[in-house]
Amino acid sequence: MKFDLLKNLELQARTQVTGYELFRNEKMPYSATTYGREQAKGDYREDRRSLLENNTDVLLNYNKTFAHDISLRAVGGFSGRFFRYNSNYASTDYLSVPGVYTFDNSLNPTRANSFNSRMQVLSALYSVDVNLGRYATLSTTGRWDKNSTLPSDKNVYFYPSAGVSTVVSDYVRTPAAISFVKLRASYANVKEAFTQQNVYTAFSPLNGSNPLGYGQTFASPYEGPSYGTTVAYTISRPYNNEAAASYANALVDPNLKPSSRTSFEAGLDVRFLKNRIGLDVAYFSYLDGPRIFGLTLPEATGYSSLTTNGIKSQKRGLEIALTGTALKSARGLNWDVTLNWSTFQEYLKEIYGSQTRLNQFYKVGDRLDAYYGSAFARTREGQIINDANGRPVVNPVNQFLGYTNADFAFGFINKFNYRNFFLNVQVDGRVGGVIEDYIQKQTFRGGRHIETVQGKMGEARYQDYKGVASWVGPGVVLTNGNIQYDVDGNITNFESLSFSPMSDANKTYLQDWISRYYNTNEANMISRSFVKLREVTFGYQIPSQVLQGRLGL
Amino acid sequence: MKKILYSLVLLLSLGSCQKFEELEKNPNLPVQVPADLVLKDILMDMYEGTWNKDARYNQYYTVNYNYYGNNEYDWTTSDLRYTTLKNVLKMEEEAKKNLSTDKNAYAALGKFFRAYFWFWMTQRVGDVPLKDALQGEANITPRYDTQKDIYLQVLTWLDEANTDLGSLQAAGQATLPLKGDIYLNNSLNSWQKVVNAFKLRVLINLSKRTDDADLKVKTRFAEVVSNPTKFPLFTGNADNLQFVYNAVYNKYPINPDNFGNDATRQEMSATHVELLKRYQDPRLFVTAEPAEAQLKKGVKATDFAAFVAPSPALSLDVMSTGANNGEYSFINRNRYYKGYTPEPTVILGYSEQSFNIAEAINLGWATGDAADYYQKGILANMDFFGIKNGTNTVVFEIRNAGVATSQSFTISFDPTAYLGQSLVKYAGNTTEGRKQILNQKYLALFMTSGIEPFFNWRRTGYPDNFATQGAGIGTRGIPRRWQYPVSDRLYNETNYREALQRQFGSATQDNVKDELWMLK
Repeated sequence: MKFDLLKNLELQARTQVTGYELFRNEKMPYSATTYGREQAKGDYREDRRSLLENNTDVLLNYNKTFAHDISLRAVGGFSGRFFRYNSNYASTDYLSVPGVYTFDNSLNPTRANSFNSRMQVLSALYSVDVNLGRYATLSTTGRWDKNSTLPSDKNVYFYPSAGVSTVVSDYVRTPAAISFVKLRASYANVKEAFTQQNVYTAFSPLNGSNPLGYGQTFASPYEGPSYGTTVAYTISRPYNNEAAASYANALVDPNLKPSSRTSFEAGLDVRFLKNRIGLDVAYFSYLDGPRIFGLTLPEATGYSSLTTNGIKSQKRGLEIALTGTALKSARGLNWDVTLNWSTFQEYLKEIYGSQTRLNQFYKVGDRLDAYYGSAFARTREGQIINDANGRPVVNPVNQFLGYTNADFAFGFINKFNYRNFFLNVQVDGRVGGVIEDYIQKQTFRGGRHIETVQGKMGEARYQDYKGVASWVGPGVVLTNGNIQYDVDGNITNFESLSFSPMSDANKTYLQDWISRYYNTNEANMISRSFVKLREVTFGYQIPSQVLQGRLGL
Repeated sequence: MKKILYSLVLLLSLGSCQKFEELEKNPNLPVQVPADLVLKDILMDMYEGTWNKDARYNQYYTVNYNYYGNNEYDWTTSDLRYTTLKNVLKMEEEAKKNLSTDKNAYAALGKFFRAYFWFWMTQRVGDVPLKDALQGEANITPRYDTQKDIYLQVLTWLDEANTDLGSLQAAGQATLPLKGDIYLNNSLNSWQKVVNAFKLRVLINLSKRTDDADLKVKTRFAEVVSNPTKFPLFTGNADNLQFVYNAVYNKYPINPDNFGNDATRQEMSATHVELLKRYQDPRLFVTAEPAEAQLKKGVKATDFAAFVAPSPALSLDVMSTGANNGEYSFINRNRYYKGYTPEPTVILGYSEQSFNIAEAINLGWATGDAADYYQKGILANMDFFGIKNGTNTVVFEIRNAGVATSQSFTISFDPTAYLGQSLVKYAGNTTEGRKQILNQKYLALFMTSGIEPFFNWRRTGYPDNFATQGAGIGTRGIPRRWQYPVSDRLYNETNYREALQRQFGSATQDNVKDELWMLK
């Protein structure tokens, strides 16, 4: 609905309803099994979810154009979000009669869960855009939310944004080679509290796992309350289907504030030689935090965490795009090139109070994509330490194994055309970062990796089959002493340990060595770097005059 | 216009039913519950399972298949039990609301649970917070209390729990007012016996600290044993605190569901089997099966020599080869893999209590006939395994031409003859006698009582054939304690370091090989 109230002033009201009804059922046939369901008597389950959301807003628009192309647009108003979600999940516990998929046919009592939620957000908001003719455009927004997910005395919060852009070359004389210069910058802050993006099967928000221990949990869109401020009992049925209750392990800070994310972006767009070469540089920085997070408490408090505000991290990135026309000829060969290069990293800026570590490993200043995993105990010289049986010793504390994010990503896009023929070639890639090769790990452990039948390993595997231990792995063998580690997994008693090179006495069965060696994360880390030939397109464009007047065109 | 009307109706229906302020609360969870629901959760936390890593640390069985595990003593940090203890506080709080008095049976049990779980923790790591503990946000850096102070407080709680349970019964209350007990049928008398039997476990664990003038270990022990009216104790297996399984919701950990996966990847352990063979003990036939390779050699299935098990110290590759060659005794498949409820898992039992008293008499803490308690402990456990005086049927899975079939055999058991064997007959209140008591206690605790069998070995060195060195144990040998949880170091560092310095002489070393105060 729109009403024009005065000249330049317009009142707008709108309301919209979105939602979904979801019904998902599963039939587990008689005699099919999965882990833990070896009685193989089938099951029937239903997952029902219903989400309904209404967004209503009333906005006042003001538009005014002044002299010299200067204009103003201002919007102010109120908006409301009304959210409701209901779900339930039920499952038989085996079937009495095969093939009859109903709850009444359950052999043992049925299991059922429900999860319902409601939420409201009432907001007041404004935005102002000012166009200063050829000099600049400015915009700013602001929003107050009153959110039902927060305690009633602390549920109102404000967050603003602002942006400016200016085409410098429109009002400053530039050297002839520079044809266009534009600068832009923006700032935005977003606050949020205790909602979650997706919702899972009805048992998940409460007890976490399927009452029968098998089955996929399916995510559907939610954006509703996660009830993070609740400190209450959880009901479970741990013994003989009888109800029991345990109290929450997470306390909630009574002075909790919404989480905050502040982003800043700045960009430069320069074009040279009548737009033949273009350079676009963008820098961004997201300051994430203070977040809402679970501060780990020493368990002696009776609780495992305190939901509070803390942890700041900063994601910084740079993106550079160079575009150019290398060859340009109306009747000859044309070649357009784009080169992209980008990088970003996230660093930990602040934890909480005097805390020195986040999640056991991360210190202030560390990259948050640092990966810690199981690793071998090593000598001072870095050699793998093996036990008397010739199997590597695994460090009891996870160790740093690399960063998971790439150092940078790049793209190289080429477009050629000659008359009506064209060829596009696109190459891109990422450099840096590590990942665990899970396929390698499990194929080695399961004896199905190609290397287990080739070369030295193939020979040792044959010896395994004959019952002869023949494999000697890399590293040294611990000949005396018991390894002691400190809490970070550093070996503290090298002086009382002695090592010697691996010998025939340390021969082991290959498959036992593999089970140990490849069961660590360290043995399976691979580089994530890649270069990909993303696209090659070759084509011919039929001249428009050929088709003109035909095919009804 | 119609659409707008619909929207408005919807809007009203979404927004009107509840006050805005009410929406913050999670409608799916209660903030108040009857005390018996919380009790049930606490009781579940007392159950620690069996046929798990703890049972391997006790050396009752071994796994031969690397892919699914090993027999190493590779532990680092311990869990703690403060979240359970927090539930104890909540249970007491709810009971007070439900019953309008704080002098109730839940409060009395609450004292026992405090004793039980603090003992659980200090036995593993040493000093832990007690006075400053369980205060939530009010104290997020609690100071550690010394192990001695914890034992003192544990003993005080047990005395109070005993007194309170006694007075409630004297006042005519026989059962828990709200029920909720999954172990002892809500009987206050049964719980009172548990409290005192547990006190004996605590005291016997302090056998290296009998010199302590505050703990007064010997006096306290004698006081309990000599006054059954004030300190009622277990009088038979019927009094056992035990977890009873059911076929639908709480299945025995090894059962037909995992038979295919586990039965041949696990086998018995030499520590247990060799001890049974030494005493010519029929419990061997009930818990284990003869090794295929021995049967092939012509050894009879009910011959003790047919039973062979690997030491947990054996390198896993050698063990798996041996297992593939049929050299080892598997877990008795007829007993443990045929159904879902082969036996209850004892948490605290009559046999253990009998051996604890026998050991105390052996050590001169109390007067009485150690041999009598020793024999009662043995026979009660024979009874637990269904071994009766006379002819008994035992069943083994025996493989012939690749097909395993169940075969029954008869064995005879004569308690007098068993107890009269030179190695079994109580040698008197001597070191040899103590060894017999502790070896038999180890056999009686088979697959029960959490990690108490390991604690017995740690304290006394018995059973005497406990494997201590070897590739299968791991490169650091058998640890003496657990490290504190990582969260203690990261989030309560000052107090954590102070506790380490005080106990082990270094603020930076949280070492599993260090000795606890109670063992020094």
